[in-house]
Amino acid sequence: MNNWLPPLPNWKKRLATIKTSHLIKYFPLDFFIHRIALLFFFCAGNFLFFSQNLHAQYADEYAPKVTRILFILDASGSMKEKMDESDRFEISKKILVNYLDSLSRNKIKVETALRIFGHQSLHSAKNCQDTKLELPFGTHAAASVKAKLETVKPQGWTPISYTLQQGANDFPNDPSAKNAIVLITDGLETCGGDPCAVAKYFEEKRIALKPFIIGLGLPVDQHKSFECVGHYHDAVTTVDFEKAMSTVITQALNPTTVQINLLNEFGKPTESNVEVSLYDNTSGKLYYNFVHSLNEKGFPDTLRLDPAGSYEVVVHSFPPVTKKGIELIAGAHNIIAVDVPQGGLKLIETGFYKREVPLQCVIRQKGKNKILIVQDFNTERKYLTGTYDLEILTLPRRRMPDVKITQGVTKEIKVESPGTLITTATVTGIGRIYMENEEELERVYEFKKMGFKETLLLQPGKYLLMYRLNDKKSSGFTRTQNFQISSGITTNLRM
Amino acid sequence: MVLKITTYPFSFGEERDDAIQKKQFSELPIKFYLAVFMCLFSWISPKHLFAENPSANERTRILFVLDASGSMHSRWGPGSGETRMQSAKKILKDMVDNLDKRTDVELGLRVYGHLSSLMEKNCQDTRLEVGFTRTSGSFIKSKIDAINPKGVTPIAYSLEKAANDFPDSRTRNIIILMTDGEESCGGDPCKVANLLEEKNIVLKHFVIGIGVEASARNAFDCIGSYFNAEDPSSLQNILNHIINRILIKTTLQVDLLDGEKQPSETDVTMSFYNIPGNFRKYDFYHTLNPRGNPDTLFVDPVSDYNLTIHTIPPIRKENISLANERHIHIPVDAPQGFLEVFLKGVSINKNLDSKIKCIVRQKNNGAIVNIQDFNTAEKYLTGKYDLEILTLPPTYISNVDISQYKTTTIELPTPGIANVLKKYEVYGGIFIVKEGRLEKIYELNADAKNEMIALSPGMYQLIFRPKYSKTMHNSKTLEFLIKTGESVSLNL
Repeated sequence: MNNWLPPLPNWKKRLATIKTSHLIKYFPLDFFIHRIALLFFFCAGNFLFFSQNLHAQYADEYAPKVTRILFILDASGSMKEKMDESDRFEISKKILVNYLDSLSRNKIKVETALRIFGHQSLHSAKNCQDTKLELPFGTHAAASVKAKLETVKPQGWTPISYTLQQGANDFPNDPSAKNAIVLITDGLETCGGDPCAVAKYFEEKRIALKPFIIGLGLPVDQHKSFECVGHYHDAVTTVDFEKAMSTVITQALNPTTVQINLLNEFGKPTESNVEVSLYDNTSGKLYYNFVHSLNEKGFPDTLRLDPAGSYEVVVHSFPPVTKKGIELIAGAHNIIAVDVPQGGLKLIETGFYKREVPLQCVIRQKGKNKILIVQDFNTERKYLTGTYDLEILTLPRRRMPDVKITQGVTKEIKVESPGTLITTATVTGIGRIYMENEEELERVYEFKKMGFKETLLLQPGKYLLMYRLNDKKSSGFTRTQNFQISSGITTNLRM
Repeated sequence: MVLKITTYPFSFGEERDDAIQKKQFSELPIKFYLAVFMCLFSWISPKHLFAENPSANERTRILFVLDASGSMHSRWGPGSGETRMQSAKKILKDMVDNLDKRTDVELGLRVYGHLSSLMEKNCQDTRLEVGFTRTSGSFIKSKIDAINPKGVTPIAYSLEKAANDFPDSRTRNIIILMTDGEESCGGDPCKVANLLEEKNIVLKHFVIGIGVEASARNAFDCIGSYFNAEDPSSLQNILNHIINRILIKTTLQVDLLDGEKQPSETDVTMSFYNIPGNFRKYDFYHTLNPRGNPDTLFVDPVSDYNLTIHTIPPIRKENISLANERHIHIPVDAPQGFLEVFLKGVSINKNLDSKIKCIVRQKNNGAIVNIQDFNTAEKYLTGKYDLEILTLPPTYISNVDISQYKTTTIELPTPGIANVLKKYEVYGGIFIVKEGRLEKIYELNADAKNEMIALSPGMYQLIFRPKYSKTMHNSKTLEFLIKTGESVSLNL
């Protein structure tokens, strides 16, 4: 997915590297050429910068160029059975032709194909490979479809798995398309194949969304066996059939929208402004990155997604929250709810001393060794509610375990600003500074072998300096010096 | 309350001298010089620790607490030639003779059971007969001649009172208790022992039992070891022992052993914590003498000590007892090696680079033992350590081996700088891609105009959206490369 473009020509003497989005496959090439040209133009305007200039790319949502629907029609012997005033196959034919007709009449941008199984061999032949793509993808007139169907006679077996597998290859290799299969059948697999396994294979290859299945007069206990294959619609009567067909076509054609609700502790979708990544649940491939937002009305923004496969949502809060196995309902508005209850943590250094380099605080989730993040003092940041261990890198360092972050509340951690210790010496030796705590001495600083000239920022408190000059060869010449550091005050020590 | 001040030759003059002396050496120069010659002489005179001769600049106060209960009239020992009291008086006088010669020792005497008869059962029958002075030896000798034992045995109460007899808890305070029996007033000597400990008064090695019955000996267990004299002659040994303990210089040396068990490690600070009281009494920088051996330290042998060697991590050695030793070795395993951490390459922003610290954890227990700055080397005990380095993203290096006399070097490339230039305020963060998955390592400050971020060399993604934007479709992803020691401008 790292499609690197060559750097700009040498005469520009500036490197500008632009990463094309992984979404490239959803867009035609000319779109990208246009965009890249635009970016180059922007880069050229920034020559004054001495270093590498980079420009960002929009994270575009999924917008398919073309929709392709493969209809698979059951023409096994059982399709001759009576349904309403006619038989199942006749009704299927009629409805199918009607819909194809209306699609082309409404100028809906859709390509269709027709595959039929069980129509070439007699039932007695037990032909389990009896399936054929009768019409390849294209814009078919209703009349030609009707003519084709007139030649078909239902008679054979029901090799559903094999047919689905073959059907996958009927789609042209075009990642910018949205693919769908509509299977019209009246019975279960009779050739020993496993339709569930095929459905899974589809998903992994991202060939199509789960097939839509219209079951004609299937016993209730058999409905279940189609659930793993795809979206099952039962049709007992012609009216049911038409309704199911209408639903299926609508879902296949309509955009699938998603709204990601980031819930606070009270189940309200109020959290926002955090980066969200969408991965393929099965392959782990990254599809989209965006910064979550609430729209004008304060509701989470809507995103159009390819309904194929299942998704994994990662909300990049601290720590991140992952929700796996999200299945979308095609052609509908889906709401994905993720619990991201957050509270703030504000680190404050009180007093007047202003550090040149900000004081840092290492933040870990309670009980975990891995560093979650290092937060600078005098900044505020959001964290998931929970308990954290803080390590404040003052001199001496201070551990602050069990800091609780609660929903919607900003926890303030205050640390007194340091005092300055300036040590000077005309002699050399070894020395150390300890903080005098109740019982133990706490190691604070060790002077480098070169000498005692240092400027240190120490927390207010009582300290002990121990040192021994280089020319003194006895522990008895250990010298100690107590001193006090107050916030914002400079203390001079001369040895 | 029977207690009243009789003869209390407490020398205020001396105490005042003492105070002035202290002032001269510590307080006065600070105020004086700071005020007058601030620029020229703004130094604080360090307190020299003349540990060579602790008894010279440390006053010892010894309070004799003498049992004068009725039972002290009993005769004891072979031939039953003398009473317990007579033996006690004899040994007491001997001790006074031995100790009184010393200018750094002050003596005092408290007696119990001598004011009221046994019939009265006076459980508050105790009195400080002679208070502390340098010349109280003769007072004590004349006083004990006049004491006639008669009453009960209020040991606990007497010790409680004795705790207040010491004018200063910073001196070396010792109680020598001479008794022939157990508490007869229902007091708890154990509780009092704690009180004494708090006040820095040593009793532990200085209880002398004079013919204490076998059944009563347990009573002193909580105080600690004590000497029980079976007969008058054994008293003499006890006397010698105690005098030695108080007055003979006991010396010690701390052998910091390297990996080959040779005492070659040095130049580390160590603190002796006094038992009782657990206060820090001596701080030394461990030193090898010109011959390369650990040099000799002089510490007060009266107390026991806990020793802390301030290595990383520190080593503790508990309950070091110096009794009856002229020179003792304290062997401590302290093999050490260096850990050096540094950034390789030219730094382009010293302030940002100085935020990179190395958190050092002990491998076995996960405890953080040090936070080391970059471009420094520090000494650690040998062993395995885990490092967490506060680069962005954090660098974890586990199982770093520190070995004897060796320097383990951790070298990281100097970070590059991402210069985030914002035309408008944004929400967003910087991500790394790990095994195809994004991991957020930095959150942009939504209120800051521009930001400078130090990043380790590598590929990063910046995902952001203008703050004012109400739709996430304005989110953008920017991928960029950070090279060591170079800066990259990111125009959002």
